[in-house]
Amino acid sequence: MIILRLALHSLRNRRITALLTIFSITLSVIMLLGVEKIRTGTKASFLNTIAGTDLIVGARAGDVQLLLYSVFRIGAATANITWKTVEDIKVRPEVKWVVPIALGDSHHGFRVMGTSSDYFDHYRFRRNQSLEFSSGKRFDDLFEAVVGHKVAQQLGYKVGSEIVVAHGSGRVSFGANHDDKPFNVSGILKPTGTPVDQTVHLKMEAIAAIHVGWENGSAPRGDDIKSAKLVRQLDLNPQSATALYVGLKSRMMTFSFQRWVNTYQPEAISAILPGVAFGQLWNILGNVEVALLAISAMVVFTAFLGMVISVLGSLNERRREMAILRSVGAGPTQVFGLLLSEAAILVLAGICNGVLANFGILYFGRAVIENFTGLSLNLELITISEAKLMAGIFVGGMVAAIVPAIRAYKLSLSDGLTIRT
Amino acid sequence: MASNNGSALSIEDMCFRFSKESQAFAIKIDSLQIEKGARVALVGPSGSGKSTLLGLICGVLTPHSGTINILGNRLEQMSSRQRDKFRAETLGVIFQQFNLLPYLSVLDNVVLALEFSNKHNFSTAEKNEKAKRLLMALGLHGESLLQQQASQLAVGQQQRVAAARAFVGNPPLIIADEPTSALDADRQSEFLDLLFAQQEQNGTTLLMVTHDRRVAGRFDRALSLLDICDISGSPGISS
Repeated sequence: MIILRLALHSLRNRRITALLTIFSITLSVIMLLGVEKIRTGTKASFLNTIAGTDLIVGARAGDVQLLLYSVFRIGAATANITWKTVEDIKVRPEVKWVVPIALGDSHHGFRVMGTSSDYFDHYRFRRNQSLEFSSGKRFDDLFEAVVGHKVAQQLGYKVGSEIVVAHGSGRVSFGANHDDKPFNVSGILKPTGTPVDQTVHLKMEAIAAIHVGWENGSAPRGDDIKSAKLVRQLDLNPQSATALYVGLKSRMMTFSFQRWVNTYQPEAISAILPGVAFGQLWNILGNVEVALLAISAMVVFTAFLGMVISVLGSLNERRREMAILRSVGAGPTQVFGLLLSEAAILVLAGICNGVLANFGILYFGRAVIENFTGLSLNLELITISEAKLMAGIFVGGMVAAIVPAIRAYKLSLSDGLTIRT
Repeated sequence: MASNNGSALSIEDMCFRFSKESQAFAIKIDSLQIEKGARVALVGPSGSGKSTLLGLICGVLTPHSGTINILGNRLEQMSSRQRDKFRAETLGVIFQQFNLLPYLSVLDNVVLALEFSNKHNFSTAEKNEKAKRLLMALGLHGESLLQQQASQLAVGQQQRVAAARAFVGNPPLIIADEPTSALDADRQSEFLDLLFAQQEQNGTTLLMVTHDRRVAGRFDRALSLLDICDISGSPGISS
């Protein structure tokens, strides 16, 4: 008890060094906790990019590739699925709903995706959250489009804005535009933190409409050009889809249905479980997060190093203090304890400040972070895994503090009562 | 215990070496007896081994042979932990200067002497009361002075606080290491008066090292360190 009181008094006496040490530990804890929060938040948000969809069906390809193009709109499908296959899947007894998507076109670098109106019902992200509109509504007319939050933000779109879709997926479309058939923005989605934010959604039929006359792969000429008005009268039922989001009646059927898809004879298609594919993808990306965490750990280490250096540096001038303590009956073990208690106070104060500061940042910055990145962070003072991390930091700090404490122990043993200056 | 009934301190055939090498600093004492309740001055120039001797008596150093007996307790037979505890309960120590922990108040510096032993099992209020009474007796009073940081006091006041700390636990033996050398002549004599008054009141044995013959003259007995100790090698090597 007396040791703890002495430690407090002694720290108060050297308050500038003590406060700076606490400050540096606080900063490192804020950084470590921040990285940990973002890491777990990103992971949760990433793994929850798509929820409620039991299977994704596409042309036969690797799981990760199928996931990349169907959910993240990265890369391209090896082939499309014919509408005959889509119909076959729709009538399967296991299947509750099917949402087709068609990719391939772009708009100022944002992907254009054709889909059905059901998409807005069935697409779920972040533990069963549905898509919501910040303004406007779903597409209704053939030439209406729903844009993601980021599309609207970056291109300054409002409900009613006119947009032109470019053929192909490049940022620069080499003049191959579907400018003969402009679209009107019917709705803008709220931010989700998923690729939906960067997508222009059209009706499945609209994709067919803008490609009328493009059957041979290049822009139509002469008689092949059909006006927007004329196109409306054509049969625009989709002929193919890039991928399908499938919901099943029961989770129990997942594997049998997957087997059925993978052995489907008329066409080479495969079905993936989004969760499993996300796990595979995260294993690749997750290393970056571990590296970030490692860097933060090094920052904490540096803070401790600073503490050790400052304590070691002060030891010489504290030899007199140790001799006084020994003269009133303190043993070298108690001198050791004094130094360790001082470090414990510094580290604990740093950890507490760090946790509180982090909570404060989260409390006030959460909305801003969510608005800008779509990353939703839970407002918690400390999670169990973070508490474990903090316990680890405390132990680390104590281990670091043993170095000067041992030095003090040895000094007080050899100095005894001899006061040196 | 029975054999040393009359002695506060008794050292016999004691030898201490800093290291096992033959040239290293060593100190030998054939016999040193200090009777209970006596005021004894140890006089010697610096380098005469006084720090080492005090370290041995206070139990932070251990002799390689012989005995150090304080009030019937054989120091050399105790573990270092026992010696620390023994020091807390039996000895009061006053240094030449810088006796106080700069970050504690005057009062807390005195109370500190009661914190490291089980013998002084008083409540905080009792401890403070004891400390205040002693400080008063040594001419230090006023709540503001008691709460002042020790580092802000004048040297003379610091030494009196140190004396109060040495006496507060009523230890039977007080060891003082040139406590007056930093004071001017008037203050020296005043300090000794206060010291002796407390010593007489408590029946304490007082052992004080000094190089000042005048100061030594005020003691019952003055022993020359050079007569008692047989020193070889230089204490500067490893002390």
